[in-house]
Amino acid sequence: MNYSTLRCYNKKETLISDVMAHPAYARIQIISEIVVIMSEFCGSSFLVALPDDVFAIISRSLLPKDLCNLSLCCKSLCALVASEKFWLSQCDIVGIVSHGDLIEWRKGVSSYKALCRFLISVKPLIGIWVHQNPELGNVVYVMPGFVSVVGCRIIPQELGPLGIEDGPILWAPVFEIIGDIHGSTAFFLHGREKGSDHFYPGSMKGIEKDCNVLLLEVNPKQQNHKSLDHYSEKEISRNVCRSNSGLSMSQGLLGQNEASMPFSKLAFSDRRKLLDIVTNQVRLNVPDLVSGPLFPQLRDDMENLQKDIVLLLERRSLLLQMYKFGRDYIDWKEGPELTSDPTQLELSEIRKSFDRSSGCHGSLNGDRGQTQSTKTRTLGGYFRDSLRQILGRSSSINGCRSTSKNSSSGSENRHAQLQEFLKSGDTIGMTLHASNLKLSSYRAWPNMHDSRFALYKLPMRPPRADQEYAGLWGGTFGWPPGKPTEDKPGKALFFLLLSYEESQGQRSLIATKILEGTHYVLHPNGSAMFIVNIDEPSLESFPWDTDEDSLPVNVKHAYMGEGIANGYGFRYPGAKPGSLFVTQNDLLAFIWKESRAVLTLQRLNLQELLKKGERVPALPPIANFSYLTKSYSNVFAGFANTSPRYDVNGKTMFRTFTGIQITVQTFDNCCSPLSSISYVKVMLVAAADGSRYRMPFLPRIGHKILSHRHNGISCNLLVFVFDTRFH
Amino acid sequence: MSTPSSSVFSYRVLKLKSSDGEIFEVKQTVAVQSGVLKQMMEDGCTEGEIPLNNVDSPTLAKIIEWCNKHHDDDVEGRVLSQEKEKEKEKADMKRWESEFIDALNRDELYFLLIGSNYMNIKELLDCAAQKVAGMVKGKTPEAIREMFNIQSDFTEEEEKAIRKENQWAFN
Repeated sequence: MNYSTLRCYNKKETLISDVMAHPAYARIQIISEIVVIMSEFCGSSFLVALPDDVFAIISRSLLPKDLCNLSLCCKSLCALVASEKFWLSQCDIVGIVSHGDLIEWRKGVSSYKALCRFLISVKPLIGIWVHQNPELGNVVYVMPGFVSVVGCRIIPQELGPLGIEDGPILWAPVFEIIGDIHGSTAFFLHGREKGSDHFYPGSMKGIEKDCNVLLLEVNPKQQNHKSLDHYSEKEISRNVCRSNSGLSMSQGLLGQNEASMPFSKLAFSDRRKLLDIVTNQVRLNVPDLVSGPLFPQLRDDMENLQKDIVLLLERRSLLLQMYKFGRDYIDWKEGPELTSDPTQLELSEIRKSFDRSSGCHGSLNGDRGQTQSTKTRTLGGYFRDSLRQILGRSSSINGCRSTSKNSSSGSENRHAQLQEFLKSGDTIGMTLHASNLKLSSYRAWPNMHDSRFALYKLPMRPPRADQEYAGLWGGTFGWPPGKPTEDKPGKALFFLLLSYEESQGQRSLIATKILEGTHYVLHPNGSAMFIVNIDEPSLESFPWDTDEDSLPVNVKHAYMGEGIANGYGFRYPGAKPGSLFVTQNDLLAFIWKESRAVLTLQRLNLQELLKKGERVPALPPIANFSYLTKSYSNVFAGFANTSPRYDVNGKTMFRTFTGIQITVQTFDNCCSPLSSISYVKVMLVAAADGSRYRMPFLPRIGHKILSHRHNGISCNLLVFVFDTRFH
Repeated sequence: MSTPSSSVFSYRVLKLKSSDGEIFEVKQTVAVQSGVLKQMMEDGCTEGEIPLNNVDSPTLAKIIEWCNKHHDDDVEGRVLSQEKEKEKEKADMKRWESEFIDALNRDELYFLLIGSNYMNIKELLDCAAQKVAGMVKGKTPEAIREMFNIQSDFTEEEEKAIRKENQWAFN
């Protein structure tokens, strides 16, 4: 090695002159071209003068707020801290996106600092969110998309012919939170109405770091003065005053941003109506370009991955345009503003909003183009149309002042609450509120409100030495595991969350059912499929010698426990003894001792499964977010096929008649028998073409193939007949 | 590339020359902690004085003190038999390290960072970097300014604008 390669750190000239200019500088000694600063120097030079890679090491031990505090010290530190590489390593530290993805995501934001801002704000959302209804499982997995996080609902489904790893898993989009160029968030709820997909833009209302509940809300918002100038202020206040003489505009302007009456305090029906109104108003059609993808597919070749990224970038910028300008902003392609340059974007926004404001005078009457933003609507407009229906007699109530706890009538009080809620702003919009609520839970399953538009986070702990099976597992009943066989197609896919609990000195492993792919639910959502005592080894022997590849099975561990069994009604299942076996290749198999039934599980990487999964249409927006109707069948599978093994021409649909859900499926080539069903009351069938069919006889529980003729077309229907005991 | 066996290393001494011309003799077993010196030993170019043009003599003395403390005792045949003893040794070392770093004044710390980075001594560099991070962590801009004797050169408006832009990091 040549000594000459051992150079000292190449101090930039500017750096040295900085030091020289500093009053604390004492002397600079020059030894053979190499400058060594021997000064009694202090001040910002200490940090600024450090080589970049040394400061990078220091910055890795700092939080973003420390870096921000440093940048407030003086201009030279501000410039130093603005460096991209320190913020890239801060993005790395957040840890939800791989280093390679960060570099791709950077293309969509103005800096790594902006990206870091976005990552930190959305990090608490990453994970599994659930709701009690429907009982088959309501699993929404929030994962990184592309400069976004995406809420994906895993559809209750049967295992495809290729197994868990290779067969596409079915999922539907629930929401997206996209980071804009500055790293702030834009919220889009997904939904499908009248056969087409829509977006419902809204905003995020803070994301608490330890959030455990995601609430879909409507919140009034105060327009700032500047944007209020766009409208004729008089006109708005006139509109407001017309509906409610007690509410004056000045009062509203002085009001605080936070509603004095929180959304959650409103009556359920009011909340639902408000959400209905807002989703109706903010609805955006989904142009082909933004229909997908929501995240990069799992690819092994760089070329296709890059193609994905280009698509994702295009889609994202379109979505953000829609978010800012609304759906009638169609001419974007014609204009010169189509560019990733943020300043251009802002210019075009300003131009657009000017166009809007000049065009909106006198058109406040329910015209969607009236506001500059699609996310919020002026209350003036609302009072004119939809809200009047809810408020009803509102004008007879003299503002909120008449509200009191002594209010004689409950409904009057309700109206007053709604009034109070609405008066705290001059626009309303949909918000997603990630909040921390005190929740009780039973066996790792949170107790949920049945009247909140909410999703609940499942506490997920990473596996560790003494809790090695913690986490998400998936599988089916039967051995060998994996692929369904010719004679037994369509095994229901189960998702279980494994967690540990310690009580009275006994450590147990609990397998909570969070998703069940049966046609009709067997066990309540969130019930424990099995609980084993991990300190008590089982002496049972594993009943099979070989696995699906005819390789010998080696059992590593076996634990004693209990598995779920039919008990007193659906809600109160019983338990029967069984054993949990852990095989050499890290499969779990729980075997009920008496029935010899076996539930075989493997660890799941949900993010990877979704990246090679198959997207299916979503439900209407509000039900898509949180399905509050009690249901025991697959409400999410109202799309073409519940299972890929059916022919693509097959159609399934669900109709609710007086609370009874019946599935009708045009029958193609295969079907799967139903089990554990014993009782049925009514039989009305809706065919896929919308015609109705009354069963000529009271059928037995199970599936039936019926020929049905309507409008001269006959088709075969596969009819599933369900147990209706629980409706 | 073959690494000379440690037995050959231990009896040989390197002559390190600081930027101000002072010569320090260091055993190879100690010097091997420096990535740069290790590379030179492997390349067989450690004859004569090795000029370290970016490290002055007080800093080099500190660095050698650190390396002497940290050099692998096992080479000399002392084996720590007990797991417990190892734990204790680790804790003692941690205490020594923090005392070592805490005893430095601001300038010494600066030159130690530069020197350890230059000589590629990862543990020392990390330790010193931790110390600087600790001086900044959780402090307000005012406290950081005081700590490093920094005069703010922002106008009130500029400072306000930066605070506003950075608001997200404090939520």
